Amino acid sequence: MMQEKRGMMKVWNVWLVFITFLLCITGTFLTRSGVVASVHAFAQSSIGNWFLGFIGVVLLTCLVAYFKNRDYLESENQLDAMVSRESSFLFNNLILLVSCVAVLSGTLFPVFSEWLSGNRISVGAPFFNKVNIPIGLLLLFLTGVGPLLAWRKTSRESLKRNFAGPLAAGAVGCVVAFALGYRQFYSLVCLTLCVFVAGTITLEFYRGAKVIRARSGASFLASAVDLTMRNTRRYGGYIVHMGMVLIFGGFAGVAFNRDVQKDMQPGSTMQIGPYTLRLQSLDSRPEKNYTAERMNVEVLRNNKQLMMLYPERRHFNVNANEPAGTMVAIYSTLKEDLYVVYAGESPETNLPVIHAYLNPLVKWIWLGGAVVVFGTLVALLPNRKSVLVLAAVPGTVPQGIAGQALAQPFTPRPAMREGHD
Amino acid sequence: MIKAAVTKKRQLQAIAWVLLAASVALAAGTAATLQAQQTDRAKEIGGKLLCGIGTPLCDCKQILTQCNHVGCRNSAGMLKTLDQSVAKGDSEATILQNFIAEFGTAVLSEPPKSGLNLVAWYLPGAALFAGLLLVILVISRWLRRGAAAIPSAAGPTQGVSSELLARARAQASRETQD
Repeated sequence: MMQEKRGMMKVWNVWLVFITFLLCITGTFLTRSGVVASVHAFAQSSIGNWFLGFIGVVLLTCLVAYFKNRDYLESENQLDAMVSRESSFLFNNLILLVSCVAVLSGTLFPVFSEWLSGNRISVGAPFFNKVNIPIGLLLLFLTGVGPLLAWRKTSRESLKRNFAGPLAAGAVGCVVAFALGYRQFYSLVCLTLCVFVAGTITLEFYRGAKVIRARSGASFLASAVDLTMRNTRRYGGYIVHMGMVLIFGGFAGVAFNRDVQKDMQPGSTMQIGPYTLRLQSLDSRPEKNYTAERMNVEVLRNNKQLMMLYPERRHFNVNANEPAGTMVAIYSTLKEDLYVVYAGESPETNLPVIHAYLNPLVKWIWLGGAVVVFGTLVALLPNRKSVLVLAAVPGTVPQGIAGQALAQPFTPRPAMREGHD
Repeated sequence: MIKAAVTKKRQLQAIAWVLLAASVALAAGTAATLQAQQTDRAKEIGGKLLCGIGTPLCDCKQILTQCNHVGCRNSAGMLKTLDQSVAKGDSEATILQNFIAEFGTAVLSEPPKSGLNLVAWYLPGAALFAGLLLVILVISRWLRRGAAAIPSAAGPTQGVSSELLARARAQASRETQD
């Protein structure tokens, strides 16, 4: 966008393209060569050397292409201010690159550590969560800040005008979330930023739609749709941002994840959150290529039956030593997901065991994904342009001559109408 | 006749032994597929350990308390050891140390915050800090260059043609569209 609009950051763009391709190949090299243990390293062979050679050739090609064409990559404009849309793009790029460094260094560190110290260590999910959560939150913050900054230069007055509302909304969101029980630091910050970003996006739509509404007299919703169709890339982009807000909101729910495991006799119950699970019975169901051991679990809320869930374990006929497959039963709502797992039989009591998980806001992550896809589709649509149409002003055309306007003389007056190009 | 009866008795004994062995194996298999009951403390400590390290039983390398590898033959034993240690009242450091002694440092789900491993922890922060400095330096350089390119005094504005003005307007509109 920077290159297209302002002819800037061409070298940066070209190198981002080069690095992206090189990293894709490097990722494949790491897993397929066996450098990093992976389930994808299913075929150990000398293919790693070929990959390494290919990476070298690609790097050389990139360098030659860059040095041969660098005259065309001169920037056409200069940056006018530190606080501007352009600089927000730079910071945004920086955060994404830092995230890339964090993932790459975490992935490769066990290899380097073993080479250097002979000591084998693991870098698992807790490391990546600790390192990437702050980076993700910074990115979310910039998602809210970027659209509010003007191209070239943002004045102090503009900053105050644009940020006051969303910041206030974010502060209120923080207080409400805290009152609702969000105590985990990252979850609280995440929800606060979600409200802030949602505020900035809403403000953008509101301001644009208000102008169109004042001119056309259409409803607010129609004006917002019209606004979006006039600049699909910009407003489609905002819809994508809103999808990200929903996804991050879903992530914030992790603070309330919980699980309970219990040996269950038929007729006994267990409690998880507001739900009571009652094991009604167990049965066995032979299928074509497996036999399913099935639990019939009644889900109750406030002593009222909500639904039946049927978690099962599948024993496949192919190999008796093959471990049973677990089929999870899910009850999903906008508020939370309840997963019920038939975890096997307790060796001590010989009773079937239920492992239940209650994960809040999971559906918002899926919804956010759908909104991101929708926003992308909107951004791909061509812009609708305002066109000047000559139209008769009501009252100047005599009754009964509709369709014969050109046959009769009347005074045409220009009036603005919207139309597709 | 007696010889045949003895042979039959031995066959029955052999079958009984096979059945017994099979039932023991079945019970062991069932036990292995079951996740042990966990206290909050066991869950917390188990979150710092990986399953499937240093053992040929399973190569899943998932967080011990979250191992969802179907039929994992490793997690059940590790969880049982963990629960027993927690029940005994061992400290977290002792429990982790015992696991390290058995499986090596790779059993920890994240690098310990000491020695060379600190590089893994500080590298992303250092990259962010260095990147921020670089971006601020680049922007400052652009700003200085931009300021130098602007004429010191305001030039004559009367000479601006309408064509130039229209072009400037079109450029401004294009650049501020998104």
